[in-house]
Amino acid sequence: MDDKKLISLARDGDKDAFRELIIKYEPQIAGTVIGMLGPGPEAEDVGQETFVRFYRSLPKFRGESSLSTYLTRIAINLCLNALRKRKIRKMVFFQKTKTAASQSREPINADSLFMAKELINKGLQMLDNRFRTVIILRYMNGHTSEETAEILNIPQGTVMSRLARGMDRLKEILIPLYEGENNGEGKE
Amino acid sequence: MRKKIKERIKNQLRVFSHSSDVSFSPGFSERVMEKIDEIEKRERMMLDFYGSLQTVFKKVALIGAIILLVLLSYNIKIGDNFSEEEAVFASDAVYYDLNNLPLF
Repeated sequence: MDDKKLISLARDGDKDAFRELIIKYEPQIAGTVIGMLGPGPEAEDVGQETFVRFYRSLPKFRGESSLSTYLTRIAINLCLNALRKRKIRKMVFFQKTKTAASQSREPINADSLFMAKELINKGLQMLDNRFRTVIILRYMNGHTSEETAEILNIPQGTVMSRLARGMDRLKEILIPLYEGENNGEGKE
Repeated sequence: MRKKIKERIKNQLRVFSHSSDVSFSPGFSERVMEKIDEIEKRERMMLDFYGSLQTVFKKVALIGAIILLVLLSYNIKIGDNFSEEEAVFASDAVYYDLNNLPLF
């Protein structure tokens, strides 16, 4: 069944149709949310909230943009909110106990990062939100530049420049780690 | 070298997006549906609560209006030189009495 039919059924109260939509878009939303926030309960909460928000906006959803774009937009906005809250929590915590906060920051150390995916995840988490968002949407979720621009509501040129700058920054972060790996520093 | 690293990063991003780390724990759709059911249940309860509150307020307002009418007709019936203002408790005498109520 196509999205339009499923949405129309879900709008009429068919819960199974909505469940089918969740199952269909879960991998895509997981990619976006986990890429943005890293794996963990916070990502799962944001993932759930994305679908809850969509369910509540079903009567208003007119299908002007594709469901994939619409859901990703909700997920990205929720992720940015979660990151803002995380930043505030960190700031409050840092003000309270400066020393504890500095100790809690995980050092980027190739020794503890054997797997490439861990390396990539760490690198992504260190990126500025603007760059991380476009890299995840383009290279992880496979959206086109046009779709990315639509999701983020920014011009396509901005997407391209953020992508280039983000990749440069990611390279800067990851090169020392790759070199560490190659020199055998990452092995015990 | 730099270009090679960029390609490596792109490949790893693709690998990362397809790894088991980039998925929610099993039963995700059920958990979302439970959350939706919970929210709907809570909203229904709130609607019921506001509905019953509205009914109570309507009853209170109706009883208040009836009491007012009874007092009004009583005042009109027993009053000698009864003005319209006094009938609706809006005369100077009533204001004076109200202002001088011994509150404490």
